[in-house]
Amino acid sequence: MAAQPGLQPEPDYTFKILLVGDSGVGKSSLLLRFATGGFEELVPTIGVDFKAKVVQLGGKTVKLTIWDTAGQERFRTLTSSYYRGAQGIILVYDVTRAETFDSLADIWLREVDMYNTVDECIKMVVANKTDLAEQREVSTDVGVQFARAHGCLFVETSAKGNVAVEQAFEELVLKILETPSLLASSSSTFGLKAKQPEAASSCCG
Amino acid sequence: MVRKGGPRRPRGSRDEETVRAVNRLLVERPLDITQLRKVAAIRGLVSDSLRARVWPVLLGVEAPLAGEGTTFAARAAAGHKDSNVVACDVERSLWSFTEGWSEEERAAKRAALRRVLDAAVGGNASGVFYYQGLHDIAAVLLFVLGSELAAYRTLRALASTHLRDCTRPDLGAATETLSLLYPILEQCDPELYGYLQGLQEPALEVPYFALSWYMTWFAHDVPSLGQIARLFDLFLSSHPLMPLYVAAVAIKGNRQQVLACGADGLAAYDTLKRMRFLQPGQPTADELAQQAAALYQAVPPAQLARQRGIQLEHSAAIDAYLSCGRWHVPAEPRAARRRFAQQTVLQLQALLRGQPSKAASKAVGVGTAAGSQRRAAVAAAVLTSVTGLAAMGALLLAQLQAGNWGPR
Repeated sequence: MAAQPGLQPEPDYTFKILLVGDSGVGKSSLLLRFATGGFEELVPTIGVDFKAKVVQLGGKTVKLTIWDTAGQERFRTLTSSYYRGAQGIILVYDVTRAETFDSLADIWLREVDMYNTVDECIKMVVANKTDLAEQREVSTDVGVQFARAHGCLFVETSAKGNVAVEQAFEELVLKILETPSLLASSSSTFGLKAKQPEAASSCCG
Repeated sequence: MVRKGGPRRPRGSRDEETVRAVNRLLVERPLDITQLRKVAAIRGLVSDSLRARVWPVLLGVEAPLAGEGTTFAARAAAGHKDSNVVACDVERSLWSFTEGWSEEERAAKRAALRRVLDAAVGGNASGVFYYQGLHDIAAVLLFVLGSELAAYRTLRALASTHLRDCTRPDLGAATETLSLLYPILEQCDPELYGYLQGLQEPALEVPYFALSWYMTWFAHDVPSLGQIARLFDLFLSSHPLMPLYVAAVAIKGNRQQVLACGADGLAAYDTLKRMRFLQPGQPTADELAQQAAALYQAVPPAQLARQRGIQLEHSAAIDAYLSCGRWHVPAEPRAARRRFAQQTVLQLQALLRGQPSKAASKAVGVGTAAGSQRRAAVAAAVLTSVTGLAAMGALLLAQLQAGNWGPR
């Protein structure tokens, strides 16, 4: 279910966050770790997955809807529609595969520029799989410089080793909370396009 | 859930009867493919050993081709556009089918799966591409058919027939085909369909929650090989859009959970996306297959599209047709075929009207060499047009045959 009913107060804000990056970099694992605290060997994402989590940050109750997209090129026609309305975008690469880092500049940042509809949307580069230290191909410095050059936050994580995953999401949310225009864009219309305001009836319970 | 009238015989005797019927059908000459498809779709093929014999027959690939082993090895070794993705997906596959296996055993099976996939999509110019999810289907074929070559042959055939809309370079055709799920659901459960439409949830605009069901024939979402194999009996015997009919009856089976989401569109999306199939207390694969086949008979895809005025431009699957008892899918979608027909007509018109005016203005200086050139051009145009007409005739025939509805 989308939220834990009854336990949480009404959220002050609802943010839409999108995870993008090449196939197999660990997008679904990061989301699973953040949303449930667990880790398991995951299968590829077909299409788009979605999880919601309510967090308390900066004295606010924030509901996050996090969209996890398939990495394969062909799915981009589908995922492009999910950029709309996102206040936060997480670009993930695998530190043990340099080509997944190269894709951030070659593909994913371009996609963000092309499809994102929210000015001042917060971008974050996440370097995942730091537990595989011996196989590392992309150094921390290279990652940091890249993120800085493109105006992105930067965090190194290990979804498997449970390193800095929560921190990454929290940093992103705090940055969104500091950006007034993003707070204004937070509403229930975090979907793919503006929703009709008409109340949807659920006569058929 | 839906029980047909009358008492049911015990499972065992029904299965024995099926095995006997299929064995009889397999030795009959000429092969009655239509009857074989019917038995596979409605009764199921009972065991993997029977499936290993019947599945390739359903697609017409039961006989190994000369030199197949060599071609397979060469194709498996040759790289293709998505080699890296295949490697990456295979590396995290087969968990649910290899419980209790050693790492070595699993690694060996994964290597086999990778060869099957690379060979099925690699080394060819037919425009068939790997997509994430094809590996789920390939895994089922590999486990059930038992041999890499049989899995390769079957997968290769599927990639250009039942899965054609999915193996194109992008998702356009598959998305378009997937959109037919809503009209099918409307036929199956109008109230639930009305509820989902009423939500006006952007995430539900296209039924992407069902993308993996459609593209992997539920293999991505159902961990039990036995249940999946039963659904594959149906899919291999049926029109390529049959997975959407199964999706519709499966959604109907979970309608209470979906309706319980009230006005929360995202919760409805989430419930659909996480829908569990074939759990205890839910319809079995056999029941789902029968319900889906009945729904299909009531509203086959082309009829549905006609009734609703739906124009599919990129989907080839919608125009699938039966030929010699087997399902075929046009190599090109409707839009491409129409373009081809238009070009042919234009060529014919140009030919009948004579050459364009530019040639006429130069006509003063035209000598014999130019004349013979022109005659050659006309001959070439006639040849092209005749070929075009023949192709159009073939297409027309194919369309007429599409009037034959399976799995009957």
